[in-house]
Amino acid sequence: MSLYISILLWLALQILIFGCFGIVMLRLGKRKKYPFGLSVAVGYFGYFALFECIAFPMKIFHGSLTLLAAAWAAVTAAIALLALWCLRSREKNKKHMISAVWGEHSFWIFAVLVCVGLQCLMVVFYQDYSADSAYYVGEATTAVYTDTLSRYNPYSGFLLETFNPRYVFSCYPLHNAVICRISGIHPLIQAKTIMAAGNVIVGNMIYYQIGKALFQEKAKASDAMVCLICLIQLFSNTIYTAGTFFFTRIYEGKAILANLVAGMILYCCIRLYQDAEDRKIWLLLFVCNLASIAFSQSAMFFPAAAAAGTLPFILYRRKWKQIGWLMFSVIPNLVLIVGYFLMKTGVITLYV
Amino acid sequence: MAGVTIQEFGLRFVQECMKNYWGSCLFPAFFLAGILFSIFYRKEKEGRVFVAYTLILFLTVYNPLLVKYVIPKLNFEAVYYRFFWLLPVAAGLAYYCVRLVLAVSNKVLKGILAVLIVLVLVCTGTPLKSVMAVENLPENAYKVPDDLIFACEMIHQDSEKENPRVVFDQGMNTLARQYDASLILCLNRDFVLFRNGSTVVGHYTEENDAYRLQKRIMDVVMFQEEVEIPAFQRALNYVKADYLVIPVAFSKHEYLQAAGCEPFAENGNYVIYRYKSET
Repeated sequence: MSLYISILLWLALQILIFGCFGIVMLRLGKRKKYPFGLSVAVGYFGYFALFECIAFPMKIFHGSLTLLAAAWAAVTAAIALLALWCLRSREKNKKHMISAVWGEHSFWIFAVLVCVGLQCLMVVFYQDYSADSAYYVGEATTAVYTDTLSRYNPYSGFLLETFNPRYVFSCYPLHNAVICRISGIHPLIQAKTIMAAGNVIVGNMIYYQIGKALFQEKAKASDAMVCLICLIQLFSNTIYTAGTFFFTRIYEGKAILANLVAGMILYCCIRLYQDAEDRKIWLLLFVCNLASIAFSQSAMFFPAAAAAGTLPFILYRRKWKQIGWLMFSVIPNLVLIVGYFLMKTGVITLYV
Repeated sequence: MAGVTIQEFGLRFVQECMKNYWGSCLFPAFFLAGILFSIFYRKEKEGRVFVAYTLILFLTVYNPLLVKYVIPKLNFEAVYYRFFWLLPVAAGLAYYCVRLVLAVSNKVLKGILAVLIVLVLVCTGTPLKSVMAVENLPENAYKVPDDLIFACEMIHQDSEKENPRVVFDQGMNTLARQYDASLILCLNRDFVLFRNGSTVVGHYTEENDAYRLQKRIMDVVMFQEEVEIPAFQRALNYVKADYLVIPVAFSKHEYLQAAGCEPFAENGNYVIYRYKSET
């Protein structure tokens, strides 16, 4: 029983921490209101973007997991304190929270809660034996066991000679290792239960934000969209679709790319279609792309999504300056592409 | 994507990948209908983002000519299907469905249309049954078979080494180090997948010494094929195996014992063997 209480507590804590990151990011964007869904959705990417910036150098300079965990705990605590300070100076809602939520959503709030709850139960109570989990979870378990960062082959347990170019940039499994080092929870539980449910919750929050962007902030239409996306993904079953990955492998980095990163890029593209000169959205797109590197090498493909969603309107409306912002927003992916090919062709070798 | 190559399909590669990606599901067709609605109905503005996505992606990463000549050079053939994740079919289709319902002003008709839309999606989609199947419920909080937990406990109780080397069957080989990273696996993950028919982890032949020797172990342990005992022993010595975790249903337990493997633990499903490797 205590294990399951731990699981729920750590899930709630991680969601709250994403929210804290989001509050700080919204405050930096000069917002005075911090809607919970938007804060968590945006904060998720800020969290992993910052984690990537700290974990990747530590990895290639042979830092230990303990050092990374200590550093990340300090950063997270600082962000949480900043978020509390931002909340003190926020614009307060005139209505009571429950009446405000009911006024916006009516019975749809229950439909969404049931939908998201069922999705969480599905991913938590589904046992998956995919071959790729040997990397995503094995990397975390190996890091915890050896107190190193990606220096051992997660498949075999042998010490590596060089970092694998396919995985060197992806620090998401090390994030799970950090949480395990701090909490004492087993990496399998952190990856396949806690983060799986966390990713489902964040994913649905992203879909809700997409709905609000498409339906001019109408909450009920957005709620309906969240429920329909769940249904569509549940009925798009082949081994390749984003929906299948969402329900069966959401703990894997590439499933996060397929669903959460793709969703956030779509959200940014919709907002930029509405106002291509909104710099905050371009910065959010940059942060999202930076975070995407942490999840999987397939982040190399995602500049195509950013360009597909923004370039036609930039060209049609002749907002030439925005091309510079588009190039800026995909810099992390371009660095990933260049780094990967330099390592793959042997021009650069990173020794373990 | 397994079984689909540019060499075989040429300019039809993208089409074949799309067919495999979506299977018999009709959602892309409905999404396309929504795109056409956005193009021809001028008042529909927000959906134009989906038009932009579709247009640019089909001109670039879904362009058969570009794909045929560029993708092989980048070595992305096996993972080409991930480009389909860029096209927001689920979000776009959900948007058009909600838009359709909102277009109706009568509340009763709205409700009927919403139910009809849900029924159409359910009937034309391909359900993901595995997430609701009882056989996929986890046996424990770690979501690994109880047999693996048993095997790890028995091995650590018996072994004097901190990092014993273990031969597992295919299923456990994938899971073992996710649960217990102190174990060293004797069988290479890619070799196991290749031996079991995967075409996306590379190609190995008997000229590769490591593959040749590990294949002997896989032939016996996973496929219960005939391998001469001295050759099997040489393979076990090469990988420095300390333990083998073998299903009870395995038909060659006597063979393993003749090869020097000593059973010391068993639950109803697996037998744990001890083996003294010779260097």
